[in-house]
Amino acid sequence: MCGAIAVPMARQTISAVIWIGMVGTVGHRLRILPGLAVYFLCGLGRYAPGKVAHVLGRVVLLGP
Amino acid sequence: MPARTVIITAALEAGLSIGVACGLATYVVTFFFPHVTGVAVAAIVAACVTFTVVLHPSVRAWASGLTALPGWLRSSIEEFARVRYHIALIWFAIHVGGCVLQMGAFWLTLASIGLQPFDLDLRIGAVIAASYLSGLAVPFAPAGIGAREVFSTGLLGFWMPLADALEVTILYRFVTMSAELLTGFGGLAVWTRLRPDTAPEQPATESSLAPVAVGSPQDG
Repeated sequence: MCGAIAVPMARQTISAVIWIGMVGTVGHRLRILPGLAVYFLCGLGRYAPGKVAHVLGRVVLLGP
Repeated sequence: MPARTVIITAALEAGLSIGVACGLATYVVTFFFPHVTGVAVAAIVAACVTFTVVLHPSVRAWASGLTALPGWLRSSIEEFARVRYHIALIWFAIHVGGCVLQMGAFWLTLASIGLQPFDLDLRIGAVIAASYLSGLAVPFAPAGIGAREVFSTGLLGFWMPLADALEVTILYRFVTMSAELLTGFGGLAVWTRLRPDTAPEQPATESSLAPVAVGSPQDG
């Protein structure tokens, strides 16, 4: 079961790195560790109703 | 970082995830019509080719020039058009790789309770992708709770007793939720540690959370 849990964690890490790359290519660069932290933390927003809470979380955490 | 950039990257990410899931979910048709497996595989290949074409710079440039589109959407596509083709293709390929990992997690969940109705193949991907899309389609369902379970239990019911299908579905939700909670709280711990106001002992250059604009003097 631990292996089954580790695999989605690895997948999320890969997705986080892609997202950091996306942010970088559209004009802003995030350092890897804060970027991972924001991505993972905001991933919890998916458990809030409305489906976009994770995006709002990123807006709030990375906002000016 | 401007909210617009965050929203655009989230939309790109969602577009890739939904596109890959749609391609994979076409394989669901083989659950009902096993003799059309070749057609389903062809549909997945067609989806990959479509994605490769859609990501091509000339297509993106053409889309950004469509006057019928609202201004905000056109400018967002223009922003996306700046992304190099090979980078966009790498994103796509990595998302496909992520799907394979997800299939592995599902297979491990099945194996953990002694159920292996099928090998690690596209049918597992189809179950995951179709249930993911059903979760997206239900408004206000947090992480698709409920919709995903109903869909994947229904599909798995083709291979195993409904009670087993339900058990696997609930276990898989536990697996994905545990992974998200672990990474989420890990992210919270790192974020709290890196915040400049809570970690004054760290040098500002290392702990700064502010994104560095490309081309700024901080790039060196």
